Amino acid sequence: MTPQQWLRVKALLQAALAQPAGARATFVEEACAGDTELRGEVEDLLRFEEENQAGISLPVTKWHDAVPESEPPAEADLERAGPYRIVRRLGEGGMGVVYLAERDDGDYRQQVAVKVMKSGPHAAEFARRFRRERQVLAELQHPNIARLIDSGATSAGQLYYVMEYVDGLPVTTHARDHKLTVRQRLQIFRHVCSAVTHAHRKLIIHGDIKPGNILVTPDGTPKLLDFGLARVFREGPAADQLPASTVSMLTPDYASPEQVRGERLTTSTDIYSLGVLLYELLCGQSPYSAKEQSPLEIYHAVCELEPVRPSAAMRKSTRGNAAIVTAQQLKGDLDDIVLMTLRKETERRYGSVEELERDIERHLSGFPVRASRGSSLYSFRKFVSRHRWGVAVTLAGTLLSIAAAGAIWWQGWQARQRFNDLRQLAHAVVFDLHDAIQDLPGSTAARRLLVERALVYLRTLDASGGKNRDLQMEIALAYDKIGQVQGSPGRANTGDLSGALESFGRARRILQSLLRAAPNDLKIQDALASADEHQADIHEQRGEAPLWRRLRQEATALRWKIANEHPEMPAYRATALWNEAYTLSGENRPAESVIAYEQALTANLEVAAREPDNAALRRTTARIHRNLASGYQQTGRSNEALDHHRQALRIDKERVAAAPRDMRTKLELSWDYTEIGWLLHERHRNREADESFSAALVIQQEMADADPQNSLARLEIGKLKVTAAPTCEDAGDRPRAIQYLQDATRLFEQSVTLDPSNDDARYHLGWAWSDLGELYIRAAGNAHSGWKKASPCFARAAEALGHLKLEGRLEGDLNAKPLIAHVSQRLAECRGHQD
Amino acid sequence: MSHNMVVGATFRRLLDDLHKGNRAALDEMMPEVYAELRRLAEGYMQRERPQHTLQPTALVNEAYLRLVGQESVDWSNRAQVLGVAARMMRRVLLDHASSHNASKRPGLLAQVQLGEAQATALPKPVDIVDLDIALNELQALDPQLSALVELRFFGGLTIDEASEVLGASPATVEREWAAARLWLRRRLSKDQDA
Repeated sequence: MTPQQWLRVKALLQAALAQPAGARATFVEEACAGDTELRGEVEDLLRFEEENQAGISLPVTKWHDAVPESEPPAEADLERAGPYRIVRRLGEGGMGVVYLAERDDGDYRQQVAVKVMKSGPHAAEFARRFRRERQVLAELQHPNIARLIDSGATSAGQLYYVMEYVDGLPVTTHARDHKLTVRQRLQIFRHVCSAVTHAHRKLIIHGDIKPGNILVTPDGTPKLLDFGLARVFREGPAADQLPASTVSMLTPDYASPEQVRGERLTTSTDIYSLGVLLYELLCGQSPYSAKEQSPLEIYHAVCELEPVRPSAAMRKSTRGNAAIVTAQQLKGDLDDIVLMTLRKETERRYGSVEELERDIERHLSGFPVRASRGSSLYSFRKFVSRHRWGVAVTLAGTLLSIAAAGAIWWQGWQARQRFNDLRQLAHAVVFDLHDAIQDLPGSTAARRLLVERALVYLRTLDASGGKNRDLQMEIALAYDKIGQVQGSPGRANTGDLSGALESFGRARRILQSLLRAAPNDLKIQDALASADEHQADIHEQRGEAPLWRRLRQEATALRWKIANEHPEMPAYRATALWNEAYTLSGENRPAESVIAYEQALTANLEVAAREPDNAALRRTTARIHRNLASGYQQTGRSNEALDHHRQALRIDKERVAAAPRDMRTKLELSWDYTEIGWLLHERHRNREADESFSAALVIQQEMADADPQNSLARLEIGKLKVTAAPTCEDAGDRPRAIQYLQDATRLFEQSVTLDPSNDDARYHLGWAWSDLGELYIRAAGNAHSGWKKASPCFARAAEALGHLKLEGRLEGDLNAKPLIAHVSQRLAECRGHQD
Repeated sequence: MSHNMVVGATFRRLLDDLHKGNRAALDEMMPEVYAELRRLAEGYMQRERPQHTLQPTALVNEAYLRLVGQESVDWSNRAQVLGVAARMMRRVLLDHASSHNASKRPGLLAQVQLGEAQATALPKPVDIVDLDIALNELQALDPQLSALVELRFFGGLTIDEASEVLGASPATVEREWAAARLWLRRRLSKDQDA
């Protein structure tokens, strides 16, 4: 169907839908007026409208093999469950329906609660697990635990279990209705604690402690229900595995962070739940205000948000227990106790329910509680390694432990604030967000902003971080990354070479001092070698040969050291070889560099063969081909050069196809096209060369358009146009050649203005002006008019080149002297033509 | 829920630009929105548990809040940003589905509920890859319609919000939505019959 046809169909469809359902058929028939095709389409679509009325089951989108949905429990009244006669329904929970039942055994009448589980695909599995647990659970005998009596399956195959019937109210309701004082609530809570302690001694975890599971009888005795059953009724992988999360069946409000994360349940989980319970008991509200049950909000609330202190919650509250429980009573000890149970990290909570119980006793007796002094007990290192946000966490940990020792509340609060800021920054800004956007179009402005902010924070951290090695490492890596954003060639950057130098310098200083303390640490060596290489790149762009050389040597030495210390990792050797080859080519020793690159290529292919999907390796392979091509070119073996460029092109095309939004890959592909274009041009295959250049130009223009602040893109287009202009001319298109060179001068001008230390841009500016001058001369057939046009071009070339730093450049680097000489000569000739 | 200050500031500035009529700001936002969504979604999906429901619209709103912060934003801007986020969300889910299909872990089930819009539109479960293919086809046929579906399914936009983003009246959007539903149902039922 064409879009036009569809529009007709759509219009008619919409009109038909506006009619009452019964009138639609006639309407369509009349409106189509004989157009059977149109009518067929509309009628076919309308067919699906009727289906709208059918019952809609929960629409889902399946990722994998779907398990058929469990049906809701049969609505038909259940009459019996084994030997138990159902009296009435008591309620419904996440797991199933609860009934009041009686055992009818002649003279033996016992009231019980029968919980019938939802049937579904896991019923058999549940039954199996239940049978395993039952024996243990039946041994739980405690005045505050509702006994598990029996279990079985209904005639319909639904699993049920039978418990002691507790006639009572949920504990929070009970406390509210009876207007219990703080003291009274705490006493009830202690009973609950003793029940949980009893179970923990038998290694039974409850897993689902919440007010609904704690009923208080009229005489004030709390009883815990459903002990240990969370373990049974979790859905998921085989029973042999550790108990997994049961959040899907449990009420999310009471889930602990580890449950939300799907980790194993421990006794600490119960402690957390007791904390939530205590919070609710005291404050009448939940510690978190996650309103909706979206799993994401639950995760955020439970795993990331700090709960409001009970006393603070009471101050703000107008409902709940406000009349009976006051903020004043909660302030201090009770605040601390509750918060300690609600810690996100299990090792920072009370070690056992008994400890919790004892702290409450202490409070009730007027003795100081342990809670407020607890924080300093946790291991510092453990805290650091637990989180991935190394930097911020370490510093924040220090702050927090200071706060704990001082035990001044507001200081602790501030530390938490700062912790959040730093954590968010380090994680999101320097690493996560940067990685996510660095190779996407349009991101340079945002990245510049990130860099600025990140630098400020890093300087602060650097100053206050002290001697912690992990922290120092993180900071160094961050500086290295920022340096790359600021100025490395080959990546989208903001053109700030001096800033990059500073960042790399900081990174290296830190890494060097770390290395002195741990000379054989692989990570540090590798990081320092990388930082050296990155900084060397900057020196190359600035034409600072001695500095470049020194850094390359340092990097090479490190790389070889790593390779030799780890002979089992061929990748390190490949990197070392490549590093050396690159240095040789920079020193303008192309013959040696070719040999070295061939070795590097072999080593790299060896490693790549084992990891065919490793994108970084494929990139390196392409680069080595390019390097080889360049080396062969310089040694006059242009056939090999062309061949290697073609190899690189092939690989890069694949890479672009695999990652179409990666700008860096596209840039490299454009380089391949450019180089091939030039080689073809040298062989006078100008038409093909032009095609190749055009392909490169398309890519680079696309990149520049997508990211106007990307100075590298600008520079590359300029270079490409300078390179391609002779081909245009030789192919007979002189006007385009002139256009290219004019564009190029404009682009280089912009780059030089942005960063005056960028000799690369300056050199090319001179080159472009010079070429343009030559072109005008040729275009006029050496006539006077040509020289007149050329004169200002050469003048501007001379001006640009005049600011170049000439001494101390690398051998293999741009050699401006011949060009300067040439331009001077031309200027003289121009003056001659004026006379 | 104070979140990343730096990102928030940039984002707010971009929103201001957008408000002043600079639609290019939307494009600038996209990488950040995408990154945030991806981070959220991946972080969440690592914790796969059987039969948990992931609500992409919740993710989108979450991402929006995180990026912008608590300050209330002009409603029309919000709709536009959510539009961007919806597009990104679709990518995120698709990326995740593709990588999941590739790794083929049997026995795990994650249900993605695309919001009420889907609930009323599609009567049966549908694979997200199929949905993506169908939407691509629809885009070739009727780009406005495809955009609408994307906004509603992945962004959770209401009719009013969608009309703001698309620049059409709510009445029009209602009619378009009705047509879109039917087209989708027919198109997707073919997948399921196959």
